[in-house]
Amino acid sequence: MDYTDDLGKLKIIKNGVETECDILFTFTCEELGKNYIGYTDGTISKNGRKNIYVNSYDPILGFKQLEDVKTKAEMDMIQDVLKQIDQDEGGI
Amino acid sequence: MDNKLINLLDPNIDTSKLSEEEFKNSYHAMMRQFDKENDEASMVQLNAIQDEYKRSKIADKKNENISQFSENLENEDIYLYDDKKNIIKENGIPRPRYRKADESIKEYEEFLSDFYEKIFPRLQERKQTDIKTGDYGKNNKLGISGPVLGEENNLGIPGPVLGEENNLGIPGPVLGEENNLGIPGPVLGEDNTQRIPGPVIGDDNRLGLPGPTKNLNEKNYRTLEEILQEINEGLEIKASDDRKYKAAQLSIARQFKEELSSGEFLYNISRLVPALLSISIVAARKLLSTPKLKTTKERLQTLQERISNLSNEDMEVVRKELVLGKANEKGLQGAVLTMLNERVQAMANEEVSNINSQISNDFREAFEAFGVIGVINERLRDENTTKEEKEKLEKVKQKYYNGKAELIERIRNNQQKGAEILSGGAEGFSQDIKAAQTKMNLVGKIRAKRSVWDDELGAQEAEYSKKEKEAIQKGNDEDALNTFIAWEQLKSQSTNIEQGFFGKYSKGSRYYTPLINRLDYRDDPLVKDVLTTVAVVSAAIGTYNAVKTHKYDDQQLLDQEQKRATSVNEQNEAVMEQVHKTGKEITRKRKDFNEGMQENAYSDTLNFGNLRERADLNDHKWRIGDPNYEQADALSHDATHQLFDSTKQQFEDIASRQAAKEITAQQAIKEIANVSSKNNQILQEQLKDTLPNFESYAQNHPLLDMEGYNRAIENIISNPEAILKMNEGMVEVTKLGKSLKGLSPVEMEVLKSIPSDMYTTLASTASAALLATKVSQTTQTNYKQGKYGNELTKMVEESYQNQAATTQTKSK
Repeated sequence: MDYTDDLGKLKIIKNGVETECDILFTFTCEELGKNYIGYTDGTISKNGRKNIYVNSYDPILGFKQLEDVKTKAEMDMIQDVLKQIDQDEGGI
Repeated sequence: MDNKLINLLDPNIDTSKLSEEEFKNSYHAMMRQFDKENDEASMVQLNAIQDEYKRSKIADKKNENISQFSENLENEDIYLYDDKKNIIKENGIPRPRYRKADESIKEYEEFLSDFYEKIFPRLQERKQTDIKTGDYGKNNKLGISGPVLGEENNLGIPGPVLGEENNLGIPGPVLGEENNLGIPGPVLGEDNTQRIPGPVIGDDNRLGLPGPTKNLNEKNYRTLEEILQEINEGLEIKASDDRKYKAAQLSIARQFKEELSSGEFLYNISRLVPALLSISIVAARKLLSTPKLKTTKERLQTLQERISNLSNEDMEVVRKELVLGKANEKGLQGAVLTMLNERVQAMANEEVSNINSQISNDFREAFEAFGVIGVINERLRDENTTKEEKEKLEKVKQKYYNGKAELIERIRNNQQKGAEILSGGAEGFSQDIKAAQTKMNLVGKIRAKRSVWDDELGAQEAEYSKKEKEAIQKGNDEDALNTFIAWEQLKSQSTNIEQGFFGKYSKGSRYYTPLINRLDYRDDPLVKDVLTTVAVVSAAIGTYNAVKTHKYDDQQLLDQEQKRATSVNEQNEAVMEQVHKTGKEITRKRKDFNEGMQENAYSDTLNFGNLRERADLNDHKWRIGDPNYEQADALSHDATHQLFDSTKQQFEDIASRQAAKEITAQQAIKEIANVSSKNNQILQEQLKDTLPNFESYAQNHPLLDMEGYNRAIENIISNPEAILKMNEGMVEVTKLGKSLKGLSPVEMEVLKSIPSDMYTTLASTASAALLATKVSQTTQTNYKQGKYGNELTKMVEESYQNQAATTQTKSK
């Protein structure tokens, strides 16, 4: 795992409003040939949790199009990534 | 056939004078009668008479043998052994005859014993020594059991090895001083090129034959801990390594890591497909001190290589010692357990496959012999067959009987051995691994069939098993073969094998399976089909829940309505009247909701109960079990995913349009209800076709209890109206809800009594429809491809049918 002070930002249109988001993490899935990006707009949902959004993108096409996470296996992988990040002893 | 029956219990009848056929026919007829009448005392008496009869027949043979010697004495040369074990000739001294082709080793030894005692008293002492050592001289080339017979012996009967010249490698005791092996077995010395299986003989053995397993405490066996260290060292295998997809090249924002690790923040992972305006990603700086690990793929590959390279002795240790307790104690990760289990199962599968091949071959030989003997018996009964022809036919018949006792004993031993390999050894290992990986005791799900004990069948089986065992012990080929066939046919027929939907599976109180099968219900092809579908359905429910959470929220809908109501603030009697009326409608329809939800609760229980199964099995790609299934499974996965994707797509499309405000929430609900109801109709039709077959299979399969599945599906289709009404009612309610403008918050409480989990129930209905569709389609396909049942059950069934047909023809 590589840690950095600032991974960057992205601007999206969410609910018709221009929103700036912080990029939280990125990773690659070799089996699917996709890259993933996790980011947050800092909003809190009704259950009191911070919203993190995750999209995939084609590493060749780049960020021209962010795609939805479609399968349960991908969702499981993302959950795993968060666990790995949480359990890793580096980065602090 | 001689139909004359004789009362064997009549003391005036000398049964020793009866022919074997006469005795046998009468015996069977009387035994059946006593059995019907439950006359145990007579059965015992009859069996005693049978034993006596058999002894008399053996005695007759002995007498015959001795009289044969008397005939030959004058014409043949006689041999005697001197103290140095050289053969010398001496006239006038009788010698024992050779072992006859139809004589068992035990009978021949009894004959020899009599011979020496009666004819050669002065050789008694030497006989004792000779028979013990089996040393019969150097010059015999044939390796015949019993005393060495000299160079002229050309009978080629299997027996002990006889010396240096012997190059036939026939099983028998080792002979001769030059042999440095010194144990009974087919070791033959340097000239042996036959490589006959036998026990391991020692360091000097050049034949490399398999031998007795070594004690695990001997020094060339490593400890389990040594082995585990070797395979795990330096790889840092983690739980996530076992997943299908693995993340790599992970870059993380430090602040996020700090927040996450602090435990003060919780997160929702939400799905969003936004329009992207701009992005600027900063390349992550690498930490200097962390050594770079190999990618997950490389680590797992290394692990796989290490496990593949473990010796057979190491795998013995793993198999014997890595039980559930130790697997948990060592904290072994799923990937390690899976790969170890794969190797264990592969070894067990190979052993059992070899055993099953042997069993198949022996079965074939037994049934073919029985078939030929049946034809010969027909010819023998034919009045047109001449005496000479009958004599020849008897000889041929005898040839087909020869060795069958030994063959049947081998079948039974192999069946036992194979079952032990699977049920105790490899299966036990597999179960422990499964339990360790899933934290569930899956062993409890494998249940033997429970049925009321069938006394008549039980008594018949007891009789056959006893008779078969006695026949094998006495080396009685004819009795062994006949009893074996009769018993196998009994098992086959008592299980009522029919040309049913599921091929040759049992529908009775016995489960006929001559070949060794795994006991894991998940390896059963039908169960796999059901579980695959159910598990996909479980995944569907999870996804739909996610869709519901992130795209829909009933509470939001109600809140919106509430806001609208309070902002308008219209309260008048007409509205109140409408509220009360609506409230009653909702309450009435609530019953339908509840019933519908109950049916879906069954689906949910069914599905969620298997979710973990599916996670386990899917992650391991069905590695435990018949590899041929994996291909079929892959294909049905594709088909199932298409169905799943298509339905899911419809739901998501509806949800997206509603989220983008192209349709209202009520319209969305109606569309979802339509999809659901359409699927419900499919469900009803499919289950009507599937359930009867599924039911009979579930009831009669001895190795698993499908009652839960059966009940769940039954409930779904026994209340078809409930689900439909629920869907309709829900649409009605929201329609009604929309019309309730200007309601006060208090009146809105009525609406809040609607079950909120509408979408999950709808998804369940769709999922249940997928389940039924898939089970029906897959089982039909597999049935046509003959995936249920096996070749031996067909063979026995055909044998029975042929016999039955022959009997019917004869009786006409």
